[in-house]
Amino acid sequence: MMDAAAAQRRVDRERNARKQAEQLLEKKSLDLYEANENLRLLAASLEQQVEERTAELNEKRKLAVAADDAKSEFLAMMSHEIRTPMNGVLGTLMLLDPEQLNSHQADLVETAVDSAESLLEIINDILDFSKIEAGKMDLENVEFDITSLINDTVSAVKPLAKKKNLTFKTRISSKIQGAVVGDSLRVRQILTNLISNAIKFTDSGQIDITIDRDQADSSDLIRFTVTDTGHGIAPDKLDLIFTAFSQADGSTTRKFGGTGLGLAICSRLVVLMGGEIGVESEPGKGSTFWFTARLARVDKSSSVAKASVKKIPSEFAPFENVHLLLVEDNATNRKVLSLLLQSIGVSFEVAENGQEAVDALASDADRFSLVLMDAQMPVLDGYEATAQIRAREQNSRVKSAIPIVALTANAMRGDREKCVAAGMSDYMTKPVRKGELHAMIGKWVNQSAIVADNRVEIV
Amino acid sequence: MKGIIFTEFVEMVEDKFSPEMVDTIIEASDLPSGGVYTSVGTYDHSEIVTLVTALSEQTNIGAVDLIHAYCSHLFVRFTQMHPEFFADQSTVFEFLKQVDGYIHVEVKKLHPDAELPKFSYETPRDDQLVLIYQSSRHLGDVAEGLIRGCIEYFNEEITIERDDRTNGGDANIHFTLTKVA
Repeated sequence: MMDAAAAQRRVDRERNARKQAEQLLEKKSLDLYEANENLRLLAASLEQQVEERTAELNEKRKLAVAADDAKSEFLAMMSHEIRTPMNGVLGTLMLLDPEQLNSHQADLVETAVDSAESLLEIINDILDFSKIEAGKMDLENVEFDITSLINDTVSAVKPLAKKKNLTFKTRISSKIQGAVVGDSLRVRQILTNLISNAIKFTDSGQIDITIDRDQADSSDLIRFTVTDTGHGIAPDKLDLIFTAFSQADGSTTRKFGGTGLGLAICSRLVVLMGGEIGVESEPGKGSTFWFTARLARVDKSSSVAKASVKKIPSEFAPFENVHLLLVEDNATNRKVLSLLLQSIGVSFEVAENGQEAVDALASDADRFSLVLMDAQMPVLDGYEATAQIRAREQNSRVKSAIPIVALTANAMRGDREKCVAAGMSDYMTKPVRKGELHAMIGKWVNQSAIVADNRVEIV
Repeated sequence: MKGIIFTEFVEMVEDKFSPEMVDTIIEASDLPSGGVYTSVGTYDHSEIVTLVTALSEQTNIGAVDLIHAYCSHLFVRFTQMHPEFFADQSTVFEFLKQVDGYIHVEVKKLHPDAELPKFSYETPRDDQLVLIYQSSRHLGDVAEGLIRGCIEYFNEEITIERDDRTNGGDANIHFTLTKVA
């Protein structure tokens, strides 16, 4: 048997050990609680930081969106502001009768016209490029005749080649014919750009243009090829030429002019059309530029109204029995347009704002064959005026609605839609050229019967 | 040193000798803790040396033999308390190689205040493992006892050669383990 004192000591040791363990446990519990508490506080502070940061970022995002909106707004405004005076300049110059000028004056006028045209081209390039960069370039999907488009485009640039004594050959494959669906204006823009470049950089020799189906006959991909016998491009510069603001050679700008945006715009447009663009070149021998575009063929039996490509006649046949209403608030524009209309032999009346137009049509609509309607005007703008005219037509159940063609300096996305939505029949951007105006009037005056059937329903 | 080393020692002395023997050696030693141990506490490692020395004096058994015996016991207790460390190991060499890189890492997680010796190893031959013990505690006997306990546990025939290369400072002992063919 253990003696009593030893047993007591053992019990004491066990008890003390237990107490020690309990104290340790308590201390550990406290430590654990504190650690937990610290974690909780940390989590709370992190959450708060996340919230603050999120709020900050939201604020910054708002500012960025606002800045972007302001930029778009500015772009739209500049587009309008620049085109309006350009309209005045170009219109006025074109009205000068060369026969009444001496040769020195005629030279000066020609220089002024050339400069104004170049400026307009540059403005258009910059606007196009800005639109593409902002993702705001919308391509149209309308039916057009591909062969006429090619012929029109080629004949428009042919005189330039003739001036330089270049041989000019166009080959259109028999597989290319009939109606296709796409953006005819943009196809024309790319083709014009490539051909103009070829002419610009070729001093002698020839320009060959070939248009063919890209692969099998079933493919909608059309390949346009432009080959010249010009300067050619150094291999190390080939990659650069489709890049914005770069030309193969810095001296190009000084020698040949241009913004250096043309091919950059083309290459982006081609992508939007589901195609590709490329170049093969050898310095001193010439270059071959090509692009493809996906242009869906139209079933011949379908009866969709064609947005046919109008040939711009070199001489403007006067219109008989055609009387227009010109609605334009800006005095300069009014004068230019009036003179343009006179020069193509159209009689017309003038309204200075939308309200005057509405009133003129209300008194006697039948005397007008067409309305040329400015979009932005004081008192009553073109959209609202059109809406009122259409409403009146609905109420009085007229058999054929009057064609209303928008004349606007707005070249931004959505303008065409806005005009159509307001009930307008067609759309022209300023500055308006004589040929375009003639073609537009011809289109609507001759088609007014069809138009009445196809007009967008106004609610 | 972790309290478990002391509580296990006390229990072993109670079992193998008697509760009176525990009381006697504690009374004979001047221990800072007063011989009050709990497995969750931490105590000065010199106390275990003092207790073993006292037990050796009382029983006339060599201190080193006592340590080896105790360590064999301790090793078996480890395999019971932490079976997870033994689940994947099936040989002495495999187990000992894992001590530094795995087991001591796990021990640190459970006991951040534990001060652990360093065990590195070399394998000069397929049938040989050189385990190098380095520690400021100079508990080479405990290390050897545990190695022996390990060999006993896995029931293998392995001889141990001990080469003390300590040269002042920390202990540096090479244990060469050779499998008996």
